[in-house]
Amino acid sequence: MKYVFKELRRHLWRTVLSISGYIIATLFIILIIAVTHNNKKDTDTILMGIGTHFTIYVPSGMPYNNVPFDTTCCTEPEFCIIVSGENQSSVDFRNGSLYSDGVYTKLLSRNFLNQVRQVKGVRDAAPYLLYKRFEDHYKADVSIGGMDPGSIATQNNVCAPNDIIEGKFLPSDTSEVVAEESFARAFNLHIGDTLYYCDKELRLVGIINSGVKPGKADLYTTFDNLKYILKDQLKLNMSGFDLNVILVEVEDSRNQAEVMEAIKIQNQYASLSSYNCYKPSANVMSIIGKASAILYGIIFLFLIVFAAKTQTTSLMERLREIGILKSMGWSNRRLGGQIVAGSLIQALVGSIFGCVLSLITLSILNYFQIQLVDNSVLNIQFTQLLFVCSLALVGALLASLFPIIKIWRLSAGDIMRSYL
Amino acid sequence: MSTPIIDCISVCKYFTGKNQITKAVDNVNLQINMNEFILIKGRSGAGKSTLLNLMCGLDKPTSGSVEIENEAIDKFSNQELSRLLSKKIGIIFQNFNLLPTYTVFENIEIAIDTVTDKRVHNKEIILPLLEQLGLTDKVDFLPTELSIGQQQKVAIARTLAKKPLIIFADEPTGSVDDETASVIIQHLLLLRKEHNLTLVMASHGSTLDKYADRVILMQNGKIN
Repeated sequence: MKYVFKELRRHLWRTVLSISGYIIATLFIILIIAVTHNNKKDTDTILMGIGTHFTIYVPSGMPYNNVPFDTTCCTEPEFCIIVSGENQSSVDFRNGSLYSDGVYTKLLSRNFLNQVRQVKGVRDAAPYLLYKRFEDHYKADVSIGGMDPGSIATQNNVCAPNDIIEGKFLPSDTSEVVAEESFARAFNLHIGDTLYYCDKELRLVGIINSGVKPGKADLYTTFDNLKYILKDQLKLNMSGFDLNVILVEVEDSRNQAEVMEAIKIQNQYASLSSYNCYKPSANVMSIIGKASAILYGIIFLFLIVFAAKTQTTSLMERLREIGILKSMGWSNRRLGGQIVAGSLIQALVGSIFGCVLSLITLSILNYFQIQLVDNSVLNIQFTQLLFVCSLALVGALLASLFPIIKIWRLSAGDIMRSYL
Repeated sequence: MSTPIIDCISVCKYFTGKNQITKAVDNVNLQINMNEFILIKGRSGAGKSTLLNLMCGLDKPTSGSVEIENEAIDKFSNQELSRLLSKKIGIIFQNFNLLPTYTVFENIEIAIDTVTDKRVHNKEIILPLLEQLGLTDKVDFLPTELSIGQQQKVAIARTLAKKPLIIFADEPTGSVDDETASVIIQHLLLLRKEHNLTLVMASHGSTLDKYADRVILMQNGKIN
């Protein structure tokens, strides 16, 4: 090793230039990684929130209304199959029923909800009660949703606090409800007005515009409030069966198809409803991911080409010395080891300085708030710095191969004839 | 009868050009005995340097074989050849081939680093040699700070430091004036006697004839 250091010291300018090359390469690689990584993170944050939700329900041929819960009919633990009553040719909410997506649904169990929560890729799953009935007061079918407002699955599938346009989001007691803007306008309802539903008087405390959501209803209240409001309509007397829709939020829209498939396998009777927004966002994320991977590949190739050029130039300058050393009995292995060690030392020193310089550069960029999107800070993780240093070392190692092959192929006699 | 330390058996070395083959060494048979001083003479391009390179293992013959101590060195692996060059063979070049960024001491040290016992301090080997060659005060000089004669002396010291069995010298006085050449030759002969060396030297002049045990004349790659 002492000759390696001696060689690096003796050709100080060559060493400095070589290390400078690694510093510049490392600096640019880290800056590109920081920009692409943060760009990917920012776009992923936006895209991952698009279409990452769907609903689960089990359709039924008849309305769930005033039908006593019959435990003998439960052939599946996850949901109850109502066997009494006649099949109807069209959906009729005259007497009211649990429903979803315009069809009658069966009750689902908490056990099934917990199973959905355990599926890999599910970020959150929430219970939902969705009921519709024909209200004589309004001469229309009016739907009401009972939800768990704190759940992210609820906020993305039904409505969220930031959807409120007037009044408050959460009812404080069982007589309060929130109405969709379209419903409120249709019936000229205002905050504080009294509504009539299931022979009960309810007070309107908020108006909301939830947009296009799979669990959209005309009126909203909390899950427990709705159970109370519908206590005479729904005979929820079997423990664990108190919901008809499961609202699901997945971690990443790219995994949504697999999550839905897993739930389908778990329960073949379940219908899964999604707006399929996850498909384009998953495609965009996939494109961004591939583009980043290709960019990293190009950077790595650039580093290897740069390092190979440096090492080869260095070798050509040293070929005379190598011929002399070979004639003195230095083996190819020893000469090769010297080249690899020299190359690695330069790469290590260069990449460490490059890392330090890039951290300073990133701090300056952040200080002057040079950002891709608002509130986005360019940063790099320690593992990424280690990765770049490792990349530089691997590049230096690969770059040493060509000079080593050249040394291996040339005999001392060849060098004497050609270069001395 | 003396033991042959080097045995060249029908050695040929051809170089292929664009349209022709140059026979640099053509079917040479030569035996060199232990402690012998052989002078290979011939004009420029006669094949002296190529034969020297073949005998010391720097080149491989196109055909034939070179044996040192009854071992065919042209069949040696790179590792075996390195061992041979570092322990048994010393080469002195016409243009000295000193490393320009290394001092006199380091130029010698780099040659013996793989050979010497680590317990022996390199200074114990190098400094007496430099003293013998009158270079004690030049230990920390770079080759560019030395005269041509001094540089060749350093090259000789570098070769002798590893205590080789055979020294190959390719026109060692070719770059120096007659007076310096005489000094260098006197040193070489003295050291050869001291260290019981076999000396194979290539030269185009006749001044060294009187010192050699045997003079071999080369012409067009053949020994006359």
